Amino acid sequence: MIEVITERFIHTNILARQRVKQKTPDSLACGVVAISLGIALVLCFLLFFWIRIYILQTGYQISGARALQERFTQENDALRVERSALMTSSRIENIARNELGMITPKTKQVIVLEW
Amino acid sequence: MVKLKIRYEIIKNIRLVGILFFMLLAVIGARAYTLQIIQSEWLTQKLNDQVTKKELLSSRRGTIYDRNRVEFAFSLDVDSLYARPRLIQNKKDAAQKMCSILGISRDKILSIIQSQQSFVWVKRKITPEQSEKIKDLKISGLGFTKEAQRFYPHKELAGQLLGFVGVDSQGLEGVEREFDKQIRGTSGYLLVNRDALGRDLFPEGIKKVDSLRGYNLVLTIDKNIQYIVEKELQAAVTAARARSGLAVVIDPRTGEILASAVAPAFNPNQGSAPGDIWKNRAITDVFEPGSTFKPFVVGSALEEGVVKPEDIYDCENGSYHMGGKIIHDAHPHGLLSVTEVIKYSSNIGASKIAQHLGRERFYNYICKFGFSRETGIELPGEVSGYIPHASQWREINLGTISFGQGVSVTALQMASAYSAIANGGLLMRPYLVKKIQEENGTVIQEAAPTIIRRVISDQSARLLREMLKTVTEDGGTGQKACVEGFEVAGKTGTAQKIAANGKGYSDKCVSSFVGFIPAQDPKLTIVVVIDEPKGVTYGGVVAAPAFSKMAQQILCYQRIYPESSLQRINPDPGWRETKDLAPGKGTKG
Repeated sequence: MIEVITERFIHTNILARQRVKQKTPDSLACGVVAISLGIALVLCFLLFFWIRIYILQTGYQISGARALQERFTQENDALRVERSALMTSSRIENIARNELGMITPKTKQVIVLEW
Repeated sequence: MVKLKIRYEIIKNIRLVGILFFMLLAVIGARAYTLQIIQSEWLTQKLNDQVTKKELLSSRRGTIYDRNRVEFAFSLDVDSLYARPRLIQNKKDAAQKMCSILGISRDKILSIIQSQQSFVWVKRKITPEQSEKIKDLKISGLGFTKEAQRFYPHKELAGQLLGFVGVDSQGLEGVEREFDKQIRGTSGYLLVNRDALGRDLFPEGIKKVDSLRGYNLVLTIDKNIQYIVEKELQAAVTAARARSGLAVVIDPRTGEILASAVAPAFNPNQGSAPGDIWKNRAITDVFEPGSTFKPFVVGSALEEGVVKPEDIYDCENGSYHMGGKIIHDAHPHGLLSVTEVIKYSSNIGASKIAQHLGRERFYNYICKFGFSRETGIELPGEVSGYIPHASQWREINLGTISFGQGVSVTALQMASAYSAIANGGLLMRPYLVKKIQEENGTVIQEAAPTIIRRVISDQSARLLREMLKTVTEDGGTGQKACVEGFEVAGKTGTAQKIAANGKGYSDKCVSSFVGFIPAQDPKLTIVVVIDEPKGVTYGGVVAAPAFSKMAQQILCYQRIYPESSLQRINPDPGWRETKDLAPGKGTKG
């Protein structure tokens, strides 16, 4: 009984080896294709993740740029307020009269030259 | 046999595990179905709510400029402080820390942050310094949002004219209210995602609806003229210990309003103020014009050919019976020419001229000069004044209206009507907004001088101007309105005010001077009205000096000089060494 089984096993094994030998070229091609596809898939994933990370990084940059823009806008606003405050007529008149000793000229004090 | 049994057991176990895996897979599938299909929309919304933020891009109100593009009003983004009360750990401590920074009492802040609401404003539109200090406290549950704050850098300057805005930047008064639609703009928004650290992300690109900035306004007002007028008006009000004052300056050739002042002044940065200090009383309040109304009866009579400047009227030595009443002059006069009636401001002379003219014609001319209806100025709240219809006039009314009692007008109406005399008889529409522009300077709308109608002929206007010049000459009531080197045409007015109970007149009065300068070629019409001066109340004493000071400074600022100031020199390249300056002609430098 054991001999019979052993013989069968050997026979089956031989047949299987023969089948493997017969299919070797196709299997290789399939393997190569499968590996290639796998690599391509991995590359695609890598590309996808790289793009996502790049978008995220760009998002952070935009966010930073917006914060910077906001800060500059605030500085600009502050300067605008300061400039306007410095341009007030009462302040200018005060400096002209009190610090520089200027006066509004009388009509007779003005001579208009034409040439 | 044993092996077969073992094999059966293995197969059985494998099947059991398979079933278990299948059931597990079924559960996972069912859960996946629930999450992906059934609850998909709700979960997506929940995610968006947690991660996506709609950031409001508030619109900026347009800027208001004066005629030389000096900023009168502009908007800035400032922080507004809000709180989420449930997230604040130690409310008492937070209130204690914030009270000194915000200038609000501790109890008030505490009551705000102890609210049961999920969101409350602590203080809107705080200063950058306050914002920085609050941020430094790092109190959880507090947040900031940007809001536009209207800013008026010149403070009180043209305050009543510009008006002010509310807490939501809506125009509430003055130019801000009248042109709210044009200068308000529209808000936009920006969609941003937030990561776990709260940083902004744009995974789907920038999704943004731009806010539209409001249009800018360019006014006809000149900042420096406005300053001169406000300064001198306030000085006149203070000197006369008066209740208030008004002044309007118009270019009579175009109708452009160069300045419009009210004393006491109002600072629009404070928003609404108690009382009516914020009102632009040059258009919202009326007064009895008094003798400044006399030129209109004389002008009408000249136009109708009823009188000539040299015609003589008997002024009855200061007392004249008319319609059962007695009309008085401030100083008794005998025979006066029509010119002298204006020069000495005779009520009796004016009444007699009005009698010759007749009530219907007089009334028609009053209306033609623009009284009893709004001027059409682009400001809210303008009133039309009151001129009773001629059919309602009794005999005495004809007399009193001829010297400006029993009628009410606005300061702007007076400025407009005098401008008609100054420019040769044309009533111009006064206007305040020169241009409406986009931020890049593209003009959306531009105002141009508009002639409403011809009121009197050029000849009549010229005669009237000559008469009004005598008011500021020796002996005239308005000598103090003189400006050295220039001829001034104008008229003083001192009108009693109606008693508080509406019966008769009180001892309070309105003093005024209305005139234009240079009389021969008017460039400015100025109205000065002083309400309830104390002491000497004559318009020639209270208001005329203010007119003079305003006119002198404005002309100097506009570089309008008298002919006597003009010197012509030889256009030789070596002109610097030329000593011999020859007199020339012209008025401008």
